[in-house]
Amino acid sequence: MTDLERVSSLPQDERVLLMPLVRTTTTFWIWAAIMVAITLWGAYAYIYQLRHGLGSTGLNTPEYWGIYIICFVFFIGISHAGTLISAILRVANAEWRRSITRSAEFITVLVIGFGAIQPVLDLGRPDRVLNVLLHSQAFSPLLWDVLSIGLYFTASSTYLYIPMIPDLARIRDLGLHPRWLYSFLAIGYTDTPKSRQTLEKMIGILAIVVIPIAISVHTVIGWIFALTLRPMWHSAIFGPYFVMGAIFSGIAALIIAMAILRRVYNLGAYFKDVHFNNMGLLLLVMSAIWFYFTLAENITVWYGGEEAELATLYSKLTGSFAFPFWLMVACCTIIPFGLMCRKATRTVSGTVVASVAVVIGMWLERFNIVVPTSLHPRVGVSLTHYFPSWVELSIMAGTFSGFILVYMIATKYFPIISIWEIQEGREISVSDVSERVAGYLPDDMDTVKS
Amino acid sequence: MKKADDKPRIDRRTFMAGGTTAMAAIAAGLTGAPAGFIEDMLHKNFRELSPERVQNIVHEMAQEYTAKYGKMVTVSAQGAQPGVLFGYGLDLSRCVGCRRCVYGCVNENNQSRSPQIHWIRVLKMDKTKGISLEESDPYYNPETVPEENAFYMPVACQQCRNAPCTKVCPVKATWQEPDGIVVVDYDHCIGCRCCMAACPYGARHFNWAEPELAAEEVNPDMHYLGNRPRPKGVVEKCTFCIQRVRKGKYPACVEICPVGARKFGNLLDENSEIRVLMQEKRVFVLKEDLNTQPKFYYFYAT
Repeated sequence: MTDLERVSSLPQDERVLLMPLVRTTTTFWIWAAIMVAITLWGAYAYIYQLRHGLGSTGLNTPEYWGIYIICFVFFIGISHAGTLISAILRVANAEWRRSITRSAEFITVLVIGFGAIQPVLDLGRPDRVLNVLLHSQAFSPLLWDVLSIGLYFTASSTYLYIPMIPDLARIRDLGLHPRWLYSFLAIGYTDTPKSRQTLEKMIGILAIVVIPIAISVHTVIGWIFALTLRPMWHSAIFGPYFVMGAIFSGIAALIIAMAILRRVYNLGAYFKDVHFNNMGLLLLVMSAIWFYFTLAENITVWYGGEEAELATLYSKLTGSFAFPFWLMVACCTIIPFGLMCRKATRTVSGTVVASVAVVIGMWLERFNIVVPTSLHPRVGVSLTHYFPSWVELSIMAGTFSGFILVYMIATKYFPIISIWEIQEGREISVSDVSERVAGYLPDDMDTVKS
Repeated sequence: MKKADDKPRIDRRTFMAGGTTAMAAIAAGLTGAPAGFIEDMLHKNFRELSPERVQNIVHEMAQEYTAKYGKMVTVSAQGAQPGVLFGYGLDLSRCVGCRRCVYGCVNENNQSRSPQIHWIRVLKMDKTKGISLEESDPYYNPETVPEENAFYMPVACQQCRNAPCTKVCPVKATWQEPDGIVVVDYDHCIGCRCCMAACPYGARHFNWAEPELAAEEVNPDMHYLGNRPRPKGVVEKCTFCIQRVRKGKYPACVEICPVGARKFGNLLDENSEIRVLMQEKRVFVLKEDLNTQPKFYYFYAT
């Protein structure tokens, strides 16, 4: 019996959710080939940059940081999709989380490497990168970043892996190929009530532990900017602003991933309209918070009226960065808020449109943080402008395609929706929730001793 | 029988160094970097090297540069003298904006001629507006200087006591020497440019490409932490001409200034010109509000 026949004869949940592991369509191969080609092109661009120095980018004095640092913040932001959102939903006992946590956690683990590599792409001497570990200087925010991203990657990989063990054990028992992989990863797990209890306890602890770690990661990234004395970077709001922005873009990325997965793997029965509706509500809340944070950031600068800060601010409001700034406002507030505040547009396509806008808007937000401040030094006017070169744009395209590629491959080896959690939901969540709700109701006066 | 202690042990540092070597080999293969690349990378931080090792390194450097530029090059690693803290004074009422200091500095310190790197930037300001750094123009280019209604303010590294640049460096590649000079180890810098983001004076410069320096223009009198030629991808900055001042000479910009606007001396010596100046004139530092505590003092003599 082939793997495909084996899976085809299973009951619905396992059949549908394991099907991508055993059946690969031509469309998949075409897309994979496109992604491989773009990624290789990006790799070529990087080798070109290594040979010719960072002068082959559009960077210049005083525009020290550009696309790579923007993408660094952006990708690490996207990585907050998984762990943080999934952890918050788990901790909050949101029952609708069951079909979306796995796909979210995969985004985290797979995108974080593409984020972490960005500052290395930006280094003048990437050959000396290990100096960061060999000769680390504890007072440098960049070192804090290395540590917190490392910790976050470890924690989120564990948080992806542990809840996947029962599924891996199930796949092992079914005998799907490659057998060695599944039997290795399943680490001898058998699904008994006792082991299930241990597992859930571990998940419960991990879900709580990863939340502060995830918050620390993006806070520290914000501090890379905020701990300098530069206009509009030296701001206390940057830590929380970055964390909040990361969650915002993470939710958007997750919605896009869910919509694509739903379409290509026929998962409409699992990623239901209600999931998109609920994710859309989260997006709505985050877009309102984003607006509030952005307002708070800018109004304090404007009212304070310090010269260098004002110059930077006005370059965004009315000057040479007005286009990316107001496009960002449209993408992060007007479009998502307009679409998500009405139930009629909180559909699959509505949430996807809003999410694409948010992803673009949040990329622009990082652009609007990094570039205008760099071009407004405290000493001397700057005549330079920043246009990313083909090298930077190719490398950026390569990192996007690289991430999409590894995500595609992951869906071919691991069930992208947690099978056991879906089944557990079918079995116990209705009674669990009714019990919980019953617990909220007022007690009978007679039975309460005063 | 061997004692347990004779076993080769791999500690963290050796292990990491092994990894570095492997990565270096890969990177060298990819980029076609010259031989000696791996040794380069395993270079310890200048401050961790023993005096003998430093002597060996500067000796090898001198030989390498002598061969490369076809003239006798010396590379010094002379340390700070006790009881010395260098300070700089600049008389704004004398400066005429001729930029001789800029090019004197380029010649002395072997800066890249293409792309051009200038450690000193002269800012033109409007007399009616006073000192307004954000609006100042570093690109002025008239027929003759000084221009009507303009005054000039040369800005280089302010050699801050509380330097924002050194504390952000993730690899300890930049630090303040005991005589107050903030230096960069070009063989250690990873080129992340955090220090450039941190410096409020724009005093640090990055080698965006392989620096171009013609052999006939090379200043052969070099210092390890100063004017030796830099590789691409690292940060550099003014060192008060460390190769000169530690031998008791003035920085090149002080010597070349045609109007005597530039003063230099030991802040710990009560009789030095710089101390007298601080007593007699009303001096100020740039961006005092940022608490960087520069050792570069501006003043008006008249």
